[in-house]
Amino acid sequence: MTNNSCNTYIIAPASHEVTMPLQPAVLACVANDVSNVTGDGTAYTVICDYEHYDQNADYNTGTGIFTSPLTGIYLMFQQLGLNVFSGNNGYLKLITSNRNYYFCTRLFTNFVAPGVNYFSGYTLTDLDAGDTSTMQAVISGGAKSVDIKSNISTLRTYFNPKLVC
Amino acid sequence: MVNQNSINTNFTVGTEQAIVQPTQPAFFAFAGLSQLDVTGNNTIYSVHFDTEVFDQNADYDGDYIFYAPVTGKYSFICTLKMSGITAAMNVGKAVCKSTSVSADYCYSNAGCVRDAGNFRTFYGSITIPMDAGDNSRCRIQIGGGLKVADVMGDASISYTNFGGMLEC
Repeated sequence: MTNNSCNTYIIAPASHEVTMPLQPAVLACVANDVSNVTGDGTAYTVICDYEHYDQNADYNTGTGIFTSPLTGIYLMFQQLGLNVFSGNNGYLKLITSNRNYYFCTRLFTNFVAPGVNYFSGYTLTDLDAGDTSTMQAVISGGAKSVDIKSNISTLRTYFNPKLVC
Repeated sequence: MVNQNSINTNFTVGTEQAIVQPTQPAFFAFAGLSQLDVTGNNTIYSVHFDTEVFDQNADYDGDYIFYAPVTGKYSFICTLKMSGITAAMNVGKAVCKSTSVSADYCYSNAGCVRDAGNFRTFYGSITIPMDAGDNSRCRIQIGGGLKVADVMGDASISYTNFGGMLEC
């Protein structure tokens, strides 16, 4: 075990698998479907209100904001499940203090699957201590009738940042 | 320089100052053989990845299941290249199925987004909590058509692959 004066932050048992139970890492998802959040160009800030884990208490389930506890490189996975309609277009946006990232920009013509379609993205990003990150759904081309689809046991919409180095 | 417990070298720090963890649970495997007519009619199919590239702690069964050796947070990445997609197959998704939670990837109208060769690649990544002994696998589910969709495998090219590691 590796300790500082307060905490055990690296555990290496005799079986040699190393865990870091206090390393900043979050898996938060939207617990239930949220109706009519975008579709008309509205930029909707996704609030993942259920945490599967949040090892350093860096994510706020009330605001959807991840706050970096220290300067470093963070690996960010994020995914949106949306019931888009033919004619919609849009993207998943990751907003960080330093810059924004756009994923899965696309136009839906006849590509819509019944029920839900996914937008996902992965990136490494540099964050300073206190920097924030949020994810947004931006869909246009129709009415404000696009829903967020998700539940707790089958993850469809989630935010999954972690400090890697 | 190394960081050791009484038995093992857990971290290696080279003179170039990079850190590696040579005993950390981590694996990568790919499908060396194609798996034919496995879905397309909404069948849920557990994909086989028979060719191991590495398996640092021998936690992958060499076929399709990873077993968590300790409680922690594990990252998984999968890429599934499917062939034989038809226009009628209007739904499709990949699933990372673990004991406590599942993550869906790439839910889409597979028939519409297939390429000219009737291929469609599904991919995704997530870091999930697992208890010791929990397991994880990749599944594919495509519906709306006949059971004629194939998992594309190749002996030398990892078109269809599955990897994972203990993160923290």
